[in-house]
Amino acid sequence: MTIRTQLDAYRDAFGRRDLTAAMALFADHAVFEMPLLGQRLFGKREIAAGLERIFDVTEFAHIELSRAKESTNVVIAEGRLRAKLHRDAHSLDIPLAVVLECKGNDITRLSTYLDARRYRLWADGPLFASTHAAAQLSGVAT
Amino acid sequence: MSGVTAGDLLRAYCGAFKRRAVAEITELFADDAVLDLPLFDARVVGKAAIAAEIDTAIRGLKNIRVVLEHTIETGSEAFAEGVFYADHIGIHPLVDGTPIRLDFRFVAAVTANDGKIVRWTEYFDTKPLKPRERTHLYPISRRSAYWEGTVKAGVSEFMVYNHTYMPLVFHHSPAEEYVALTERVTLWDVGGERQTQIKGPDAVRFAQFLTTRDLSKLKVGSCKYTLACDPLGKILCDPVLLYPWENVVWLSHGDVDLTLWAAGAAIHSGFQVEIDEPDVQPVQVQGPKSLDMLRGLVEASLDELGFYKCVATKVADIDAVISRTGWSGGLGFEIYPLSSVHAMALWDALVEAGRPFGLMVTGPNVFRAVEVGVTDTAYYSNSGMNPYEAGHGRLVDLEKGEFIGRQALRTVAAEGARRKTVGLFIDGELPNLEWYWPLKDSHGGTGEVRWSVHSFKLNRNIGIAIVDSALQPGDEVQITHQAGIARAIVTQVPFVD
Repeated sequence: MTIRTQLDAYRDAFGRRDLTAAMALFADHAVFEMPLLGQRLFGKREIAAGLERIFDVTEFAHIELSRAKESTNVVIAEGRLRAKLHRDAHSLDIPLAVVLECKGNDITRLSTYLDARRYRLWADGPLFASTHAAAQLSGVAT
Repeated sequence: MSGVTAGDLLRAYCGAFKRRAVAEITELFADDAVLDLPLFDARVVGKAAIAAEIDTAIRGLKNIRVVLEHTIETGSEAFAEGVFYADHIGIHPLVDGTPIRLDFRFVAAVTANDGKIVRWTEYFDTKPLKPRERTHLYPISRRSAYWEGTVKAGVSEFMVYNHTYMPLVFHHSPAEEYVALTERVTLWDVGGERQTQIKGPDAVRFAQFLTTRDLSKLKVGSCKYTLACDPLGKILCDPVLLYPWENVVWLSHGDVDLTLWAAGAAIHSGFQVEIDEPDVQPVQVQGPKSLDMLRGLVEASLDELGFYKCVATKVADIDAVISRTGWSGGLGFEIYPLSSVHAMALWDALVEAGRPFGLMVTGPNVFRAVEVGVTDTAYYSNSGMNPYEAGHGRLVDLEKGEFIGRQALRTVAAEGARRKTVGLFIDGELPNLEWYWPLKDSHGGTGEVRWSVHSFKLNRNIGIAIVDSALQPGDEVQITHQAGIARAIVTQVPFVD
């Protein structure tokens, strides 16, 4: 699996809202950065809770990538995030860049760069409240 | 074909930014290059526009550092992940001392052609870098009629002025706002700037009694910068007096209950006047492009409106008074719609008319005001300062007849003022001026720093202070502020032409 394939696999799982498939791509101690979540997430349990939060509050969320450059361990890509929150009347369309680092076949860091200033955060709410399912997915006892 | 790659250009840009080398950065771009930066409101197109934006950005920053962590390059493109570090100029630390910094992680995507950058796009989150959404409000103070417009423009902080929230801080940097004011045009919500209306056959005579300048030759369409003093000769405020119609005088005043004062003074005074605060909430359009921007929007001919003149007319088809006055020390106008009912329609029309001129919605710009020596009520309030101490002796006409404070001011004029207003060049990093800083001179005299800002023109900290009248330019004083002690050198006001 090349690093670009990892990125595409994550993008696809995210768009399908497939938490299990997305989490299978991450290393146990991975770092996940997404400004709309309001904080950096560490490890599978936090990342699963963060993704679950995104899926809970959105009708849809897709990452579209237009250009990517890759080295052995890092891929940097440009694209857009298109999403619609249940609470909002209109969907979001935000330019973004993604940096993904891998070790072996596992994602060790996934950093999303976008400007969240104009948007109320997805994390406006209990980010870690619904961690039960996420904990089960990541195999961590609650 | 040039041997310079996109990666070379990316690294050169970051290196030059660190050195604040604007000309060097500019030369990296092609004439038709585009720049996408989340800190800007829109894509910047063309080398000249990019140079101007980068120059403004760098004027507002110091101690810049750029660290590139990953750079990946293929063909004509290079992508990089890195970290930007810088100190702001003109933004004070939080009360607990936490600096407001411009530090962020970013991704940059660069496209090159023939050895020049044709596209520079950055991705980062500005939410932690800019002021948060507006502060909470309390209903005991009034919102201005332009509230909706200022929220849309990104207001974050207000001061309470004449019992009204006046927007001061928006999401642009002080350097960006300074450049907009001095090179383009700015729109200010000064709905908190209230009008004390004096109406009736004795309107001018009563204004003559209430203020310090001679109004005996006042003509309709005139304005005057004047002072209102108490019976002890202390300054209450420094209003702009407008005479828009026969038998109607407005005193457009700073943060003081001048209408109550005037109403009290009018009772049993024998003057045939009615005192009121009409529903007139002004805006200021200030900057060198203000005339060009307003020309098509104002029914009266603005080209013929002289400095400190006013006219009742229509602005964007809304009944208003417009005066060639303002708080910028340069070209600018104040627009007074005759009712707040159409205030937002006026605001929207101004924003639209200003778009081709690069209009920026800002608060009153204290950085520029101090440079040009334009003070306001906040400079005098609670100081016991008289006009001579404020450097406004020219605004007092002791021979014009009776007015409030005349006897006391006659004594001051005869004996000489014990204090005077001076400029200061102040050393070191300064906190926000939240109260007036005490100062001492080398002769044991005392005084107060009553304004202090960074001067973007002079690139140093400046202040305006009231000091012992014996002090002269070049004398040294010691200031005590909330972050320590600073040395300052006395100079003259204004600091710039």
